[in-house]
Amino acid sequence: MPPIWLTVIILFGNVWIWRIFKQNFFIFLLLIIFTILLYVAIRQRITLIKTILFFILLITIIVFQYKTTTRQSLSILDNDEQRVQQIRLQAYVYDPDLIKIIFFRFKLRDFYEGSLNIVITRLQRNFFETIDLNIYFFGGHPRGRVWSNDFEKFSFILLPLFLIGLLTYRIKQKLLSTIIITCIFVLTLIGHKNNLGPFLLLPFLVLYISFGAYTILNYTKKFHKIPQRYFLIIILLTFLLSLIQSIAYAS
Amino acid sequence: MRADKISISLLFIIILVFGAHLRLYNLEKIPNGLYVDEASTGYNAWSVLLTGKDEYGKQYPLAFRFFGSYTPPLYTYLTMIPISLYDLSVLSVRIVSMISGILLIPLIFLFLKWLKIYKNFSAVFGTLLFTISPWSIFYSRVGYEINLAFLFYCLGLLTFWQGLKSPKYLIFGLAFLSLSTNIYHSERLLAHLTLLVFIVVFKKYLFKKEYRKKFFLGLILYLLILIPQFMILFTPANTSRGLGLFYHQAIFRQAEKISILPVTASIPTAFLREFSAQYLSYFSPRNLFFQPDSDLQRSIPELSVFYPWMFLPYLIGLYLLMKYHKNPANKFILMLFLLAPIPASLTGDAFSTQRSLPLLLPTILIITLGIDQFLKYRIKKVWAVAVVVLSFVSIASFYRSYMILLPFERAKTWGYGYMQLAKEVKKRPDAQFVIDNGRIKPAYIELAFFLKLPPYKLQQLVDLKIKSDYYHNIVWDDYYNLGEIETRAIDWEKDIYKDYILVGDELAISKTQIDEHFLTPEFEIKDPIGEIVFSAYKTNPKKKILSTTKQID
Repeated sequence: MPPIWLTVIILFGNVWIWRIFKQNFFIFLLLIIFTILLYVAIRQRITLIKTILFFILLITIIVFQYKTTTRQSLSILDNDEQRVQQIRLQAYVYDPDLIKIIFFRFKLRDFYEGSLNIVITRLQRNFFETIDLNIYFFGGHPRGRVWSNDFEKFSFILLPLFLIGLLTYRIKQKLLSTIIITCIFVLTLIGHKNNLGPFLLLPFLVLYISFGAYTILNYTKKFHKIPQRYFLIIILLTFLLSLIQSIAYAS
Repeated sequence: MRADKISISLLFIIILVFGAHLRLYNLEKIPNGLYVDEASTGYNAWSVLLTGKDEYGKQYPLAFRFFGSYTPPLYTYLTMIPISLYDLSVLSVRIVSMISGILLIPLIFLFLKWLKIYKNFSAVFGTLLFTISPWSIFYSRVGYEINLAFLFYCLGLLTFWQGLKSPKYLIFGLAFLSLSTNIYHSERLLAHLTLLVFIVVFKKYLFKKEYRKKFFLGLILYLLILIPQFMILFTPANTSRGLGLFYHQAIFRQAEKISILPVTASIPTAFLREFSAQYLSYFSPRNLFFQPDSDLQRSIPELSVFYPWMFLPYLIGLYLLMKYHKNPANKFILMLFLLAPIPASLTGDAFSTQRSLPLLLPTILIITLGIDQFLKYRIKKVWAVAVVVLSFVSIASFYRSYMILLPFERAKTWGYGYMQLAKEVKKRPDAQFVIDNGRIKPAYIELAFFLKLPPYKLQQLVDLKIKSDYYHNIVWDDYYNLGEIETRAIDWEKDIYKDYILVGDELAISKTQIDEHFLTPEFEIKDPIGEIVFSAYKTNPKKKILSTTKQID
């Protein structure tokens, strides 16, 4: 497990947590406590009280995520979407052929242009946006979402650390995976229209980044001839450089 | 065992026939229209076929100038064959790509068999998924170089892989890889990168005594095939396309934001960020399984390059790839997976499905790895049925998006209207046309294509400086005077006093201008949705002169 100071540096060393601090101090506090509790839960066996507190905090954060998100309907079309739908219905009668006849015959047109397909598509959109790493490390770039006020949540230099952490860490994998999947499920249902972003996932991202950083630091121990502090300085300088870049972009 | 082999062969044939149908069905009508790049390729191929020269009068170019892109020539030269058989038409321009698409199906099957990490039926499933993947079908049905380049790239990789077991294949592998660089821009970088990395990763095989001779022979052949490119290596033609697409402006803009840092730090940081963002986007599940390419001309409505459900086997396949990365086959797939998006990541287009087509191969291999894992569980029959059912659902989605929606709502994007415009021009042999080119793609080549304008006529119009300095003169001008047709902006101070038919899109000629200059509607061309593609108005010079004279009096 990474040392606590590493997790704290990553927790406080990103634009995202400070944006949350600026806009909603209570959520900021919740996230700090929850991240530390998550760290403790992973590192050692926790008492019953701490477990209850952990789940209370998790549920509270989920509720706040729900409350602060502007929910978009899963089935209602806006004016422009209705216009497109009307145009598409005409497509099935333009230049009729066997495929279109089959679509009519088996009511496939009604399914694809109907409410159920709209719901499925929107759930897919919410899901794939939740798991898109570009949204967390590049502010959605190069496929930014105009409506979402995307911002670079973590410096892009932390991305490799996140991926390494994701691939290498196995401690309480099932527990972590279950909680993360639940959070992704919630975000899939409620969507992403939130000035603070999907902060429900912030603690997990911080944890995996710190796992990855710790793996790198451990790996540098193999180079006996070079003191580890030099690697630490290089890593911190690189991190500082990218943090300056993140703050500059955010401002 | 024998029964298994027969079933697999039968299933493969069914998949191949179905794949051929998906790539052939209504090829001339879907996409609905002829895109300007297809028209350019087709017309230049026809021009070389008839005269030995391209539209600029250059004899057998080593790279086709087109609109200043200097595209590697092999696809255009091969397109001469269907044109000689079927004449210049939409179909003949798309045939080579279509055949490449069909040939890729058995190639993928062989990949899945020869990597020897999949069960037999997984290889069949993987082939099926490739066959029905929107990415593969889409680029098999357009007259672009990309699919042919992908075919040769895959051939090169497959024979290279076999070459690790049987050295003689290394010669073929290197030859095919090199040939791919003569087809499309992406492979010009990707093939060399692949070769380099392949040598590093598999050096323990390649430098063995029994491999060395064949490998170096292959390398010589590789370099010989590159000779046409060496001949123009130090000309602007070699780099114009790459430099034109590279995002240097974006890097400078981003570096300005971090001006607190010195230039030696800000520019590399900005480049690293931009490249990383572009590169990562090619692995993003959102782009691969949900969101179509943002360029309407490179995408299918409501469908990405793979189907959404394929995300799950993709994830599992990725996990297995990382877990068993020491296995040579997995190393090979990982190598391809990480290399394929590099050329596309150096351009500013967000998730360019065209430039990153080589990524299709390792992604399918990874998805098949995931499916293979499902088939190892006890309830494998359930998984097998699930994959088949999901494939049928996917095919229905594909038919809806590609065969029904695309020709209807993307017709204008695909150059719909030029064929109809050419017919209107033919009906008026004595008229003089001015085509406003302010907002439209180069109209001259589309009209030259559909009117079958004799190549010598177009060649005569070309500036002599372009002919003499073909690979240096990279600036392209879209003004053309084809005799009865001029492609330029409408000159509202002069054209209205001459006997013209002014043609433009819905914004080119306003109601005010129609009334002010006494224009009379001549014809209108609408797309399937009913939106105006072209509207044409006849000028009335006599009335205009009278009215102008009255005003002066």
